[in-house]
Amino acid sequence: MNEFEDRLREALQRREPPEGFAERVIARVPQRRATVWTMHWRSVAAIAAVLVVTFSAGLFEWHRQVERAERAEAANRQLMYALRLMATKIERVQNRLEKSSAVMNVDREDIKGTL
Amino acid sequence: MKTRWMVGGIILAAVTGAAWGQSSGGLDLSSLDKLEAKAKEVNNVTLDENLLKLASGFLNDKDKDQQAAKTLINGIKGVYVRNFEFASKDQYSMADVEPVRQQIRSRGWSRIVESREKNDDGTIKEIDEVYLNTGAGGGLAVISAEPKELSVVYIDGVLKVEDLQKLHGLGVPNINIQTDGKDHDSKDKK
Repeated sequence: MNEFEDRLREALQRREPPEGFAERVIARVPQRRATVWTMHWRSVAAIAAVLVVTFSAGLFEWHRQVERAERAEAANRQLMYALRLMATKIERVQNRLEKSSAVMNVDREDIKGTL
Repeated sequence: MKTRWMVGGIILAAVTGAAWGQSSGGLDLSSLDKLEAKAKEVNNVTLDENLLKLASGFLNDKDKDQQAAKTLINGIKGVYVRNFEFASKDQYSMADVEPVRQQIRSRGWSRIVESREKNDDGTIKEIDEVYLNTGAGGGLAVISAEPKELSVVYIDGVLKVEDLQKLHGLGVPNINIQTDGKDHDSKDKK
């Protein structure tokens, strides 16, 4: 029993750490923090990159849609103008013919089979 | 009034079953480009099939005119307009329009309506012509030459009678098909 107590006492007695132990521990702590910090920023950068790409793609698509809508609107205006002009000119010739009591002389062959 | 119905009838009858315009490339209207420098106002429209499809997607069904236009452009491959307004008379001559008329004639299109007004010296003062291509591709051309305005409208493709009648909302008077077998068209007036 005494022998056991002696060994236990010897194991639990205060011992000084090896020389430079504290410095080495302290030196390691900031090094680890830097690694975590770097990893964190990599993730942030990756997320930011994904967001930028997504936003850019969205912006591009939006621009494309706006451009398409503008082209369609312009085409729409042109189409309506063309049809109105055509209608006006046909109406004009009808009115002129009506006023002049014109004699009609269309070649029947031209419209054969259409009646 | 009867004339009106007749002209409308002729146009519609000729369009029925219709077929106009050389589908390959259509009319070359570039000979009119030189008039741009002389005109005080120029309105050019060049709508190919793709642009027509794009435009038709944005036509408002609630608007009667646009609804009519939407139906009308089914089967149309292109719409082309050259419209010049001049500040004074004699800024262009019929010779400027002749290349377009020649193209139309050389392709065998039918001139279904013509109205002419001559000057005292016998030269043409005003002319209005409507041409139809009764070939497979379809096509309609309207040439209107007035002293201070020149307009050429060319529609490449096939129009249906019932669709053309919907142009009523765009300014064309209500028109009826003549089936009495009598021939119609215009003549010169002086």
